[in-house]
Amino acid sequence: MTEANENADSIKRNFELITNELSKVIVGQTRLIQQILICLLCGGHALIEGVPGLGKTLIVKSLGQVLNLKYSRIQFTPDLMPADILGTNIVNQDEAGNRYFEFYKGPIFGQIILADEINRATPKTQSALLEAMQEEEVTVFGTKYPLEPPFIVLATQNPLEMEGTYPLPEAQIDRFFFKLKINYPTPDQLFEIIDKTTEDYQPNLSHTVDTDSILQLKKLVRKVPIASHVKDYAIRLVLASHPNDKYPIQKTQKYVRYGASPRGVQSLVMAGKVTALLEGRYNASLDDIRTVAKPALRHRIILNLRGDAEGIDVDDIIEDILNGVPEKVHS
Amino acid sequence: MSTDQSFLAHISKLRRIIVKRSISHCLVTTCSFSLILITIALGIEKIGLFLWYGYSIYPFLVLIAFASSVLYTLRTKKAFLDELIGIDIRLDLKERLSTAYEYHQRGRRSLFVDLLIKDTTHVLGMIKASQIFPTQFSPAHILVPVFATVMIVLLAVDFSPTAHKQDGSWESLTQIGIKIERYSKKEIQGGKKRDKRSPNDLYQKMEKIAKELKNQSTTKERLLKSLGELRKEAGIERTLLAQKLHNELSLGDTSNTPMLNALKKEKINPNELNQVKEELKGLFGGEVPASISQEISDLNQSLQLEQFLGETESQVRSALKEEDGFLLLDEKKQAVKGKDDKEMDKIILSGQALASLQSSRLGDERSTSPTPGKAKTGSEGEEKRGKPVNDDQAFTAGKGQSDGKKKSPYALKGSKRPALKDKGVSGPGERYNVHVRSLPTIGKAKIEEEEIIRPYRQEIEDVLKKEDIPLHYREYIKSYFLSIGLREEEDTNDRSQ
Repeated sequence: MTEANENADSIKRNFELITNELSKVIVGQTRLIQQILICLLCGGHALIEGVPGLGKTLIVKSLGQVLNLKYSRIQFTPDLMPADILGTNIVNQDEAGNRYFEFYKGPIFGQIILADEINRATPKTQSALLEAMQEEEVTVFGTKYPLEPPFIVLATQNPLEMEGTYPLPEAQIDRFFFKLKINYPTPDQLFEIIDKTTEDYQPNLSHTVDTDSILQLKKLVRKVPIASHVKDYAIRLVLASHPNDKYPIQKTQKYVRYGASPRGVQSLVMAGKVTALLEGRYNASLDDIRTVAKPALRHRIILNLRGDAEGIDVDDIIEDILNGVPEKVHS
Repeated sequence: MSTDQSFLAHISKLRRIIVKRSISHCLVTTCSFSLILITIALGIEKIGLFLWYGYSIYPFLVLIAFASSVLYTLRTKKAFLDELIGIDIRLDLKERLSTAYEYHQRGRRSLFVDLLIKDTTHVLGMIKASQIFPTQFSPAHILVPVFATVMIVLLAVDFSPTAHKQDGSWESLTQIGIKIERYSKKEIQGGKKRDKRSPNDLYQKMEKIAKELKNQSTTKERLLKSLGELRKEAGIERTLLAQKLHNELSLGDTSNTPMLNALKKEKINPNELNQVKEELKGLFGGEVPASISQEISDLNQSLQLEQFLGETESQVRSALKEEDGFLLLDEKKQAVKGKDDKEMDKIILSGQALASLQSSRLGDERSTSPTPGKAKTGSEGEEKRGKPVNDDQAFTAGKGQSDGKKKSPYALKGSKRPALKDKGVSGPGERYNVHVRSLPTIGKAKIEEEEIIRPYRQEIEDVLKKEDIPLHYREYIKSYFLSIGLREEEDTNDRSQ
């Protein structure tokens, strides 16, 4: 068995191990876990949207434990300052009595960061986090401090409570690789949640994957082959999200103000590649692109006033795009 | 066998399948196109829009269909990669095949490419050829039985319009047309070879009739009428030629010989003509003068033509035999026309007609080799004045410019008889060639009309000059005579009642 074969197989195997391990504490949400792993392997960050109490924090915390990553949680509030996230220089004194500045690392210096209710912080604080996300390093008083790889930020936001919040600007939302939605559990899942949380059940999560393995897998992802027509399909999907595209979709024309940015295509292709590996294949397919289209594009399509007023769900627009864009355009 | 070789073997197999499929598609399309074209052609023929002569059109249509379907197949042929994408989608191979082929072709190797090619080879090995391109009914497949049925229906049922259906004789008429065409062409070519003269109008008319028969652009009435007229014209020409020959021979030492009597007859038969020829040979000691020999030959040709036209006319009549009503009507018309023809023959037999013929012949000869001291045609006069002359205009009467068209005697407005050409009366100075287009019935009058009219006219003029009646009496006298006339008319009416 070749090295590539081993690595490709290990991705699928590891994914199964992680899912099994997390299922000890998380009921359902397999899809969400898969999408978070895709983000991790692609080196992206995810914005998780869901009503309170659906287990967002638990998922992230548990994932940190399973992946053996340094977990940090930042609870965003309006009075949270950038230094509270990044860290600050404090005055310290050595044994000889000499005073000096010492950098005190903030919670951003973790590997898996849960930015809880990110939209409650001021834009200044938000931007401090987003810079770290983009650059994977922090600059404090002119000194750069690299963040330890793998670095992933999982930001959450509550879609219901909008009062006293600072919605993320479009440019900053675009930096998230995926926007994930947590669905309400099914009755069966709720049954299981009751059993696991109200009885004497204390699961012990074990480390299934080490950091080196994750970093190695991250490198492999970029080597997954993808056919030209699959790339073309991804491009056409992104272009179709624009209201002025040459192959316009009815809903796009009607409700969309801005379509997905080029980061959308990058997300589609990279996520498609990881999806293929997670399914045990060696090439990205059209189905892989379709699978990741919603999380990759939903936060990149900006609705117009009419769309907002009519309460249009961006997922419906993406669904229309997926149905409307042909898989292959014959030359 | 390495993975790459195995993969390429599968790809070659796919290529072969695709080529076979393209050929099969091309053949089905050819079949469909052929059926469509043949059905259309058959339909056109059946409804009588156009008649394809023979079956040569059908192989030609198949050829067109084949060429079109080859072009269509080449034009709609997908690229090989597109075919592979199609297979991927159809068999849900998750783009394995197309991705593996693309990376293999481009030589872009990565850690996963080898694995992908191996995986694809394995998958291809499990797929049967029939699964790769399942049989599908294309529109071309459906068109084949549809048009085949339509074609069979067209072959079985006669959709021709009533006019064609009633007589059912166009086939034989077409054959007659071909026969006429052959005859006229042969004669025209023969005539050209013999004396380099322009082809006779009669043969041109025959060609026209043959063409009309071919295209079925004539009616039965018109066809019979045209044939009848042609036959009559041929008869007239034959009579004129016989008369001319008779006159020429009667001028010489051959007067009162039995052959002259034969030429005098209304219709000389070929045997009699041969006898005349033999007699002349004897008379001229074996060497008949060239001019007389030519005239005999012309007369013989004319006789043959008349005979041919007569036979053709009877063939047409027998072809149209089924339509009794039509033939009865036609025969009545023929009977009425018969009278006129006899009258015409009488006119032609008169010396004046003969003179016209002679003069026209002379005119023709002069136009090719002008002789000094003799009358010249109008066109020659034009030439003298230095104007460019069209030969066709020589048939125009008078000095004025014609429209340059030769007109058939029957085509001339108001003309009821065949035209007789007259070279006209030569006078001093400019000479004109006058053609009398038609002549009234002359009868057997031998005195010039002018000679009779002149004294009467003189008398009337004298009476008018005398003015014996007073002016104020004129009205009174007029009224008187009118009243007498009326009374007489009334009396006549009363008596008749």
